[in-house]
Amino acid sequence: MEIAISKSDSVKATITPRGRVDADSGPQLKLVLQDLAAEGVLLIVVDLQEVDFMDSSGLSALVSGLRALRERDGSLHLCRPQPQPLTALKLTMLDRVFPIFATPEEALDFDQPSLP
Amino acid sequence: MSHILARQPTTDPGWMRLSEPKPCILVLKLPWCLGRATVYRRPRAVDGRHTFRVLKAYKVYRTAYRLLECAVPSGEVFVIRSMEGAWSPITASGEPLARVMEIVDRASSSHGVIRLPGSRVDGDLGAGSGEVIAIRQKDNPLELVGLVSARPAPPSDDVCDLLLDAAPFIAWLVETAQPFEVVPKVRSGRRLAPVGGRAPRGLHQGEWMALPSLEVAAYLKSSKRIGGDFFDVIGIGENEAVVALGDVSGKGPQAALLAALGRTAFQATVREHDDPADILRAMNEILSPALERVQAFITVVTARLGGDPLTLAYASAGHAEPVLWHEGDERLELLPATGLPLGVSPGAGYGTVETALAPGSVIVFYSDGVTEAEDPDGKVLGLQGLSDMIHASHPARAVDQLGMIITGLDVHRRALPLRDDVAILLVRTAPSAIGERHIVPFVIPAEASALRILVDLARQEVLSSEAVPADQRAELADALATAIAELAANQVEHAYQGTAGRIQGRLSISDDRLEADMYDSGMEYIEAQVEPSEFDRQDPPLRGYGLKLVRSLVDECSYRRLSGTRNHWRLVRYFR
Repeated sequence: MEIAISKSDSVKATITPRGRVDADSGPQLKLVLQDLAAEGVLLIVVDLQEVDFMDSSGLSALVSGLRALRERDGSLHLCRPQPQPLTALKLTMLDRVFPIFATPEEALDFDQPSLP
Repeated sequence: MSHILARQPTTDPGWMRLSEPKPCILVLKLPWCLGRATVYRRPRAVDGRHTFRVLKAYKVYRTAYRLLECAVPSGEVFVIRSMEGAWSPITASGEPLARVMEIVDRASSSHGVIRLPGSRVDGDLGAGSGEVIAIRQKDNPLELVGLVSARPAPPSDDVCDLLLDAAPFIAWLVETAQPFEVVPKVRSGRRLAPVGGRAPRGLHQGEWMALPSLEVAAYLKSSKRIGGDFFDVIGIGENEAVVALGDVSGKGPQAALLAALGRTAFQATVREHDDPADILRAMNEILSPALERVQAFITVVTARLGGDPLTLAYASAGHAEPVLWHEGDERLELLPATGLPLGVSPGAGYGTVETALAPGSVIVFYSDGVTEAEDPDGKVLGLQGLSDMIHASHPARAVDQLGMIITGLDVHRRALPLRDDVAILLVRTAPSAIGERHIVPFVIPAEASALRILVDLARQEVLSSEAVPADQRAELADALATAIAELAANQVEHAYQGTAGRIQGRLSISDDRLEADMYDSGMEYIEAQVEPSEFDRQDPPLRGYGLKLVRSLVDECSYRRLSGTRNHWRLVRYFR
């Protein structure tokens, strides 16, 4: 799995994993999210457009990143999930935890976490 | 349903191949005795005896071809023989051979290694400098055997060394082959006809044949450049086959030549004998003088399978115990030796053991290179490992079960090279209730990095299945892939806990459901260890999503602890 990181400013970043986020690569995603949170980033958008498979390790990595961000009142947004990752999010009810957007721009512009 | 037999491929790319094909022309002078072994030096006769002797001489040539192919991969093998004062070439391909006299002249006038720089044998047979190696100098050699390879470069020294090393054994083989020249009886073994070119997954391309009630698949791979394991399958009548699998003591050219001899002896004796013990007895008589001469022995098991009712009759000359797997009670039975290895005692006796075969039986004949294959920690695969793979892959087709065992051996050894030859011959009787299921066995190392193999497999099989409605394939493929990847991750983390192991099983697709059976040899699963706690949207748990996903994606998810510290997970997803 490759992960591209793009920072729009000092507190916002978009990361784009490519390929599969599974038991093998999930720990890598977790590290990237935690490192960004440690650098002071408050909003991370995870663009899932190029992730064609995500298992529970990937879900755990997202939750881990969310926890790190929330310690600083930050949030983690998702966008453009493909069918398999979206199904995994729904079946685990994590679609109610992470705001999911149609585009990275919308996800970045939505500053406040929309926890229902 | 098709029923398939495999016969040992004649040009197996994974067997007896040197590191790289070496372009060359190699000519071996065969001794005078080969000339005497044929009828070419006598007037051609029309009676059965002389005709048969011609055929036997042809067998000797074929054996010599195989032996030469052991040494140098070749696009062509040829024999040049003297007939009534003229030199006549024969090629294995049937294509013409050019520059015959140049080869003859150079081979006849020189001793040892002879170079033919820049020679060109035939337009289609490659060009370049070559080597001529005389294996035995006689005043008047009448036979030359040669190889032509496809690439234009001289052979390396190790190729020449190997041929020189093999040369005395080739000559010895030719001499030893003569006792096979007996007048055939009326009854003869019938080699089954090929039925098609489907290359089996995980196997080398071979020749495939059919019997109504049996499937047979076989595999052979040498740990060295050449090896001492062999097998053969010969059809008898419409619904029976006689099989043999053997292992020659020692390694190198001598073992390879003895393996070729052993296989030839099997083919010769099957023509005259029905009973496996009689086959071994006859093989022992034929082979003992040669084996005693070189202080070697051969363990071999031979069996007659098929008939109505289905029966297995086998005899084993000190060979590693074949396994008979019973579908009904998932039980493994070992088939012990019934006599001494060939070559130990010329008058040795052998017994035949006969047993009825129930539907779904699997018999695996193998050489000890299978069960004694070691992992990096020195742990052998063992009979348990072999048994586990048969269990996990059943009732897949014989060729797929065999492919899984071969893959399982690779997984077990990790990156270690083969230390011993591997020969496997797997026979399966038609299962009792397989229906129209498409069954795909699999085996992966218990490592996170290998889980993607299962994801790919599940997606590929479901997406390409015509049994699954087209509009549901994508969703079902993702569901199955996710579920088995989650379970496998669970096996890696909780069953094996970081230790080495295998995850094996099978996917099944029928007209109304997807099934996955997954086995491991790790610690027992205890549900409380991985079950998620109460879900809190404000503070979601870090872990525990795996089995939740699995249970959401399939209709049935069951677990059972098997004997022998094994675990079995089973998933079912219905789609109609």
